[in-house]
Amino acid sequence: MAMLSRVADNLYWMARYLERAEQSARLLSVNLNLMIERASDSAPDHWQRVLEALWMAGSDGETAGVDEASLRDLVFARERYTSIFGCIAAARHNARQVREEISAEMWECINRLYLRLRGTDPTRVGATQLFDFLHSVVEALNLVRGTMDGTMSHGEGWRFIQVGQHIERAMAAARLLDVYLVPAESADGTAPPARNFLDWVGLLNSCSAFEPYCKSYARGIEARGILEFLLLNAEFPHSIRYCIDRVQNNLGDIAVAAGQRAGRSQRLAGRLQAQLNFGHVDDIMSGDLGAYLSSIEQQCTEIHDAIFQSYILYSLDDALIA
Amino acid sequence: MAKALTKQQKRSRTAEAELAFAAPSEPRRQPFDGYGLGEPYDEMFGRDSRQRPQYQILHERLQELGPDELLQRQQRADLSFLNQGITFTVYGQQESTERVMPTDLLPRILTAREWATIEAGLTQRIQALNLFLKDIYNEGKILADGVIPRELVYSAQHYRREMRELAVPRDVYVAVCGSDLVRLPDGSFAVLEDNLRVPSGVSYMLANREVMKHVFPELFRNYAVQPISQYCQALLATLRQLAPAGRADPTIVVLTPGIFNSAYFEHAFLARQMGIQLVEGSDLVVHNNVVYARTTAGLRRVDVIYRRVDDDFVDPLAFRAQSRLGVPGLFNAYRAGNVGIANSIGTGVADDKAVYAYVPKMIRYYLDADAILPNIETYLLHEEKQCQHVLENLDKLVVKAVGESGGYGMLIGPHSTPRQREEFRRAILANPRNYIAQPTLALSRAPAFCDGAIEPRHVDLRPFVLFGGDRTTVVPGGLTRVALRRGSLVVNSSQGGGSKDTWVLGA
Repeated sequence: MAMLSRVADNLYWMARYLERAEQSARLLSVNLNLMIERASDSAPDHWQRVLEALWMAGSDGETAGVDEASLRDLVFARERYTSIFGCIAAARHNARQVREEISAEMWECINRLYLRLRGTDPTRVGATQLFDFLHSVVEALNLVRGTMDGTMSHGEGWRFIQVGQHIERAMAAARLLDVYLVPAESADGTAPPARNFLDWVGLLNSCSAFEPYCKSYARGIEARGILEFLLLNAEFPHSIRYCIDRVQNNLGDIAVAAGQRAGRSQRLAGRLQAQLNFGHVDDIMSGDLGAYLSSIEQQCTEIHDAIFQSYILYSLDDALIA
Repeated sequence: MAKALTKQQKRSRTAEAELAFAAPSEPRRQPFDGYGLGEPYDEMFGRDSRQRPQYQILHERLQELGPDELLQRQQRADLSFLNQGITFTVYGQQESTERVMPTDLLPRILTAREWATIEAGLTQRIQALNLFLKDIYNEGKILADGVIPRELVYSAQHYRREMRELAVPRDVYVAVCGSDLVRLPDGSFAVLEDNLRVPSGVSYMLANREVMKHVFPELFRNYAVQPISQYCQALLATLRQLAPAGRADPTIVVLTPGIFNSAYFEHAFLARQMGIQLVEGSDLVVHNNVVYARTTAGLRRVDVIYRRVDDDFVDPLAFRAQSRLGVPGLFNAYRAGNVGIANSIGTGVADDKAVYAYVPKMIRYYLDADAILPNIETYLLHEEKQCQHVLENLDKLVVKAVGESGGYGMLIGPHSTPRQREEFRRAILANPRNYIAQPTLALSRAPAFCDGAIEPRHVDLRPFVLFGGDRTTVVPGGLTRVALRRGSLVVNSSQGGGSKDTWVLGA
């Protein structure tokens, strides 16, 4: 029998939450590390940018500032889905509902990570240990992904996971580029775009792209190269183009597995894929970069909606006629 | 064998053990120090304090390992359960409702001969129970012949009028059964109750075995333990038999109430092991009396449902209307013969604790045989004389609500307070049909590894029986449930019980 719609839903969201946790953990650990080398007066701007990248900046423009306690909240807060713990808990909750679909080893990886986070007393993780802690979370999430790829059949379920993971990753990358590269329209409350070397390093490292970037761009670290690399590179797994390629390919295979129900989601993904495949960084930079990046986020949301309409939340009347 | 230790002595023994750890030349504490025998049957030791033959190797090995090594192995086993997420949910508590099933390290061992009796008894019993269900939902001969009072059956909480004259595939009402057995002081087994609705626990039986193989590999080499891992394939084969006629390659699913159900782990485990889909009510739709699953490829027909949802919640159109766990229209699809359901609806009438008292009579009536496994003596409170006797002896008896399971709605006389007894007295007088009473049993005890020492704990045994019409399968083993609290007689996992691996030895 084909995959249950609910199962596809759970697998897709499990992947998105795992990816989100990884993005947050990477971003926070990279920035904790950077702050060691920075003057303390640049700290508010710096953290403001991090919060914006996490969609967590204060809505009314106030700069909440980040101290040790609020930083720990970003990692450990239990009641919200935005903290790293919240993401892992949500991923586990989804995984738990589809234990018959994922491998036992993969479940154990997720469950162990969840239990470790739940068992950690945040007040006992000082600023210095936090970096190591976040690092170990990223490591554990890599283990989850490796175990998944190595122990799960690469069938329909795995493909829904791939789609979820890469949509989330593409959206996070678009958001990061937006926060770092696009000048704010109004000055108050939003951090200024990145200008200096450490900012660029922070951006690249947040996508684990520093060394791959340096290999590709011998001319040095500057905005144009970074944008091209994180947006249009065909081979780097955190570039938006790479992610959309994965989304498009996997949606194609899902459509085959599910019979005739291809259509809208695949067309939308294909359109975005073409835009990235044939785009040029100079054209993009000379235009409205902010609008371009928002449009990518917007298209990802549309792909998401189309997937749900085709495979998960379709109306029963249509299905009975078919 | 020493008498039970006082707390003081125990503490000094722990100190001793630490000392022994520091200086290996000191005499080591033995795991069985302080193990006391009493009136109940002991699974490991005979009345003469000598270990029973089947326990000899285990006993020796435990002596060799010593408490520290045992503790390490216990921790290994616990960690394995935690990481695998082998948990159950406790109702009625706000926080941390997901708990690891406590497992005891020491296996319980049954001989091939003991098992042969159990297997024959259970086979006979499930046949009679299925015949009984078919009879009462159709002609009702056993009622007409006055063997079982008509009003007792019709007043049972789980009797379902909707099942009257409904053709059940292969006459299999109860496909999956888990009967609770206890061992009496003379060493014989008796049936304490039958679970004919949605019995659970089989996944713990299977998971226990897997963990034990890792923790005690050397013991398995010395014992010819009969395997149990074939259970899931046997279950799948049983379910396949219930498919509607003409469905050559039936689609079979497990229906779960969802992630918050106490046995969710088990539902997922069974689906995984059988390689079939685990569905929730909202995944299924019924159209023109045919059941479909919502899949990514559209609607796909479902032929057999192993449902782990109670009768009341299966179909809001037929039963409890506000239920959101079930599938609207499922019962009509069943009635139309378009889907097989295991267990069937309304099987709970036969595990009603008052109807239970008549099972030996059923066996005599339908199979013309004596019950191989006897019942526990049961007082029926709707009979005035028996009720009087029970009310006068509430402090000695166990009183149970007839339609409950899982250790809920129960009074254990010798461990009760006057206030609890008064509550039950009132409840009994208000609705005597709703209760039965049984003598407080001296459940057998088996050695259990508790807090670093081996102590006797009360146990029961839940073997799992599969009935496919022409064939009955009882996997050699079962879930030995153990009351981990000292002196406690309640083995239910919802009430602080744990479990043990159960080994049936080859002939």
